[in-house]
Amino acid sequence: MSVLSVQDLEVYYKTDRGVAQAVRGASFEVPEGQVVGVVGESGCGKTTLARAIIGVMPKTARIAGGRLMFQGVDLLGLSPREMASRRWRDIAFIPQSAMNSLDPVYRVGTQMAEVLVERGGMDKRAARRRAAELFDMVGLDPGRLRDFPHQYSGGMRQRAAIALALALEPRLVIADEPVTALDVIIQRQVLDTFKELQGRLGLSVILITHDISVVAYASDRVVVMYAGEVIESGATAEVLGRPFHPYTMGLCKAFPELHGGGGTLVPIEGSPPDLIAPPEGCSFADRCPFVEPECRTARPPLVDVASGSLAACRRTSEAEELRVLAGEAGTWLRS
Amino acid sequence: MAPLVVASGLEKHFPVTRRLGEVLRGERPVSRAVDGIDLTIGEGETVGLLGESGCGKTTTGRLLLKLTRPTAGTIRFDGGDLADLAGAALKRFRREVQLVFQNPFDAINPRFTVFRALREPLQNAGVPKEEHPERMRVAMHRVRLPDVEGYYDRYPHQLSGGQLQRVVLARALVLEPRFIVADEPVSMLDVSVRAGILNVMRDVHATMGLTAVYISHDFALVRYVCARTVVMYLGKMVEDGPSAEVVARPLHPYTRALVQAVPVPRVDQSREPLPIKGSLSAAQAQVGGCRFRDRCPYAFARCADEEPPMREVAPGHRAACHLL
Amino acid sequence: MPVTAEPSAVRGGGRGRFAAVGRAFALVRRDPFATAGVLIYTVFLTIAIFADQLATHDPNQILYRPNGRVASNLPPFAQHILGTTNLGRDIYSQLVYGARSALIVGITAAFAVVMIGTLVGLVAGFFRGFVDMVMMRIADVALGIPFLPFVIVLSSFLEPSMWNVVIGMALVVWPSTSRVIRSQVLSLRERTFVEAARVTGSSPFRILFVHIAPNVLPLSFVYGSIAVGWAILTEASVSFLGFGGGDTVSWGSMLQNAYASQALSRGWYHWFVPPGVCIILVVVAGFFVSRGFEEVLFPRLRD
Repeated sequence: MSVLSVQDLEVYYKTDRGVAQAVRGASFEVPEGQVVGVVGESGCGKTTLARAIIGVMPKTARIAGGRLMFQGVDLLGLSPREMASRRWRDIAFIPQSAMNSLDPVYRVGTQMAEVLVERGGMDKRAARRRAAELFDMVGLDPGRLRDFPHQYSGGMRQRAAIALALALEPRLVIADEPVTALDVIIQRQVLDTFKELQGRLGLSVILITHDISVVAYASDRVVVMYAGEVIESGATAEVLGRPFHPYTMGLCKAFPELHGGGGTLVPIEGSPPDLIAPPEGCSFADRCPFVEPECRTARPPLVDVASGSLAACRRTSEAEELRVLAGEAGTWLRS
Repeated sequence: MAPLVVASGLEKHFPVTRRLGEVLRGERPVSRAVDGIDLTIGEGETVGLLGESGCGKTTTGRLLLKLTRPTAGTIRFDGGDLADLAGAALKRFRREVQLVFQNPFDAINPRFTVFRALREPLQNAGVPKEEHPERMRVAMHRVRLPDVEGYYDRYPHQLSGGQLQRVVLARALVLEPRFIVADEPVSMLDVSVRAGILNVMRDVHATMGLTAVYISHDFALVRYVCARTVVMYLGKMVEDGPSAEVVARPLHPYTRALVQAVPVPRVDQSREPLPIKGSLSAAQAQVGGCRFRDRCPYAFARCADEEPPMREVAPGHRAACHLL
Repeated sequence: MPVTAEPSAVRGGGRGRFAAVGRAFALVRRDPFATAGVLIYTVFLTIAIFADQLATHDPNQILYRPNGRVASNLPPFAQHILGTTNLGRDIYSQLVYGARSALIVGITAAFAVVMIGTLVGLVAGFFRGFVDMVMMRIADVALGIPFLPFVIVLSSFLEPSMWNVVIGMALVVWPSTSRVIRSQVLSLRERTFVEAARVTGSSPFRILFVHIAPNVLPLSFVYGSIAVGWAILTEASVSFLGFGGGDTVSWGSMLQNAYASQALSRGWYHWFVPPGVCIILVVVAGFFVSRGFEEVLFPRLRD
């Protein structure tokens, strides 16, 4: 059973140069009680996607098509007012800059209680109690509620942001790069706490990140985005273990591994296409070492590949061989 | 290997905002960004300075390049004390050392073309004009931007992050420096292009025999680019050794936690709890004793009383812990 | 951390050497007020340059009727486009020459203010320390001087002339420009590319004039276009109060003469309305242009 079903979502931005197609026909499901990692590089549309789901977009953005089915309701059909009442109560968002979103002149506890009173309809007493409860839940000392934000370290602020997001027991939590700015040890600790809470509360989560290892560590399913499209999705172990799209293959090899040998890393040369004039065919064609002339004529649709995975590539039937080739550095070098 | 850079007793303190009580008592509290570093870097060596934000790694890098003045301690470059450098000697030093910046999107004047950006160091160093084209061409080839003419007329905003960082690297290499400090050179780049920059850096070290200090919070990247790893914690070195050794046999409890915390892009990774306590709150360094003791699961009485010195445990592999 | 996924708001014309000009044109298309400002300026500039050709009479010449009497208080749209003053001078020609003196005062004053302000701001912001302290304290003193009285006092010390306004502006108005420039320099000098220039061995002067100055010049221009209007307004006020330059015809002196001749109570609108409108037009045009430029520089003001 899916909590959220994203169907053919199209989001366009008006820019000085023309209309940028930031999200182009993205589709995926968020199953109940699972963590879905959305991974991609800057400009792939992952943040736009998140903002479309929570209905907070800049004025220049326009949703040009698709549906966002949340518990049987299309979120795109809701009035701004209805959407606002669902936000945070049903769908909570932890923005990328959550760490800096606390007001420096008020105590953290005061700010949390205020939000709980304003948005949660609690009385002051209940709000204070709930804030302490939430702090305890995310592994912060409730005594620190009396502190000011600047007395918190980055990891603590991120925990506070998580606590606030979970305050009204939402069904779906969208976290945009929740650990990106943190040091590795803190990153790991925050992710552990987050994972533990997610399991215990049975939350459904969309985890947006550029870091494939965060996805590998924390998510049950993964959605790989490239140039505004979903190019591969499926169970995390499947997608990262047996990628079917050449981009995913490259991405998995682009990271140095701590314990890995001294082998040479494989860069994916080139850069993503201009989203103001996206190519007619496969958007990865220009960087793909396995490109064929047909790839450039039409956009490959997402097709079933193995055990529930989906990939948007014409050559998924040859994935076995391509994966071997993709492991060799020479394959990706441009002549 | 002859030593090229020798830092001893290096300290850098920054004044911090004083509270009223401190002002009244006439106290001047400081943050000890770098607090006693002894580091010898051999000619041709590649050293990774590894640590979390606020550990003093960037400040150390800037000190080594004489971009900021140390509070205490000395740095010798090729035998000469950096503190004494002035005039022509300083100019020569500036030709021999270079810095690669974290943010390539701001490292080139937005009003400069790639050509002007590359030419500027040559002009500053007084390299004869006839040599400019060849030197620039060589540098661009080194960073694997062989289509030289295609880039010269472009402005920074017309290049992608990966291309831009290559140009920044080329600009650092155009004077054929002996020593280079790279401060998180790929952390602002997309994953798919990082590998390209890292490979270029590896090649450059190999072909030019360049001595390099690579500053990063990413253990895997340091391991990939550098032969030697120096781990820093709150202004101090806690471990120093060959990268492969440090990863395989970490000596210091902090390094051990780091090694375990580094995420890997695979599903079958360890999910064991980290051997570390609590989290670094507000990064306050205690004076006296081991700085890691609050988070260390093995800390005992001595750790609070006595600061552990760096001790050599295996050839070239040192760490600062009482338990060794 | 990778850069944000949202497409940046300013992508238009680029950031190259001439791109600022390109962007200015792009903006002009979008901002009708800035366009109007530029147009008004162009018209007045043309009038000022071709004043000799456009004027029908010498503005100071007293005209006579064929019968030998002074041609005073003639109505407009007869022999004289805007009629004549009570002393028989051609109002239209005065207006045309007034444009010339207005623009001379406006532009030279703006130039002086911007030159001084920019230089002080650059040097103070870049070198900081003692130099900064001294310069900014001088700026504080200058800011404390009441401007109009200062110009009036100045003209009683010096020969009465429209240049007093220019000197007064140069001495008193530069601090507001230099403060803004200075804060801009303070932020620019922390930018990576400035540090990069230092690392590659660029001299401080090279860094200041090659790397920093070009990046603050657009801001100087904003202040310049405001200063033009400011100077013209001041000149008009000074002339109106009767401290203007003797023979120079300016819109301010026209207003002063009209006022002194009780043109207002007598309803000689053709005498005092045109110079008043001209002053408003030029000053407002300056603000429009500067606002437009501000939007190019700080695109966040949009929406």
